[in-house]
Amino acid sequence: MLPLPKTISLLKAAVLCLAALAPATSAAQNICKKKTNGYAQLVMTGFSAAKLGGIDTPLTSALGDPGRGLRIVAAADKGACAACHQIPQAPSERQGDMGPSLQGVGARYTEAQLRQWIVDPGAVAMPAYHKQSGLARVAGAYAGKTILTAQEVEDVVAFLKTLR
Amino acid sequence: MWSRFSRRCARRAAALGVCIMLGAPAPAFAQQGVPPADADNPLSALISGSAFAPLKIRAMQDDDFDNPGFPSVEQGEALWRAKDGAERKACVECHAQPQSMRTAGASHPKFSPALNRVVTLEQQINACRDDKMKAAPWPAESAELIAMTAYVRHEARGAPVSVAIDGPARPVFERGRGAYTAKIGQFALSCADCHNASFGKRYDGETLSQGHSNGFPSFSVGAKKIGSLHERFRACNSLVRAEPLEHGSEEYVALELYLAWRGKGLPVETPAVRP
Repeated sequence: MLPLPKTISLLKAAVLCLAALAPATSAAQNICKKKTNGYAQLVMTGFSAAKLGGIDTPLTSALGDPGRGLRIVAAADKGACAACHQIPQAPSERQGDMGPSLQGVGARYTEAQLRQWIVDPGAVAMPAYHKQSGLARVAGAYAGKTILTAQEVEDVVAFLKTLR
Repeated sequence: MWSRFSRRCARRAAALGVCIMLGAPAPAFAQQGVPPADADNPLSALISGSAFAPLKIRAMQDDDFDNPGFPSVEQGEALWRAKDGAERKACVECHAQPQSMRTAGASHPKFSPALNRVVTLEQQINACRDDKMKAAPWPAESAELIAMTAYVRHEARGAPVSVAIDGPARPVFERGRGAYTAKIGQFALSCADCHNASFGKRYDGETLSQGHSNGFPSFSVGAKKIGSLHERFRACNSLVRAEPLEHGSEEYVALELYLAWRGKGLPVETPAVRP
């Protein structure tokens, strides 16, 4: 007969094992991983941005400000970037992981590529933050407006360049 | 004849019996992916939204007593038996057995030869009211229309979703397929961007599902109410800052037909419970 504390800890371990085996979510996650890895790799290798090209010329004459950029990245009604990306400098209670972590993004892409990502990433599943034409069915309150202004795009690009 | 209450009691007793036999605390919703019926389905395995919901919410859905969508199903059952309209007729008088609705509940949207267009279950219910009962149609998102839809769909619970996309339904289906991948709104995002490529990942703190329609009308714990699929479309549209369309609009009917095909083979789960 095992002593009582040992029995309890064994029982706890058994419960934890059962929890780990909880079938539906882990089955779902496995299939999810298979489906999403391809996309994540595509993004991580920079293939998409290379295909997109880049925007060499800054959208404004005023230089982007990385401090303002961080605030725009974190603001829920502006960039809301943490809804999809891990950003070490902008932790969020509503953290998402639909897109890759932005850690090191300034080293992976050129400034022109970063600008392209923000302005209009094309076919990728990410908002086009400064796309001015070719949008469909924009809600009345947002018609004719972009998510970020030209200066805000430059600020965000300046911030992303610091993520090395 | 069994009342709905006694059927619910029996289900719970059966579930408890299984639990006791297995020594498990609760029946885990062990949904495995269902292989899609058609090769051109963008998903390699169909997983119901309940598999992505938190355990607490899944347990709520699986227990007919705790499921907050059930009052609506019960309201629907009462309406099914209630005489209405100038003809003073009740649904039950033509559709003697509610079980006869098992097929209807799993197979809409469907081409209606009488109306010469593809109709959703809601639209078919209102067409019946107009034609057979001479009753005024229930407004979109009214408690009555949601209740009747939930009741008929609940009668099909467990039956595989099965829709026809051939013949006159084909152009509607193709329109829905196009709508699914069209980038819309100020965010320029499509349904596919989130639900084909990123299901299982988190967006804004919530786990993205595959976005199936098999549980609608479905109870939203966040919104504290049961809502239609088209109401969900409107909410998704607003999320990407796109103009929501009218309930029952051609575009939404087409999207609903495409979604049903995309989830063909999943069991009907109405009333589903979602975060």
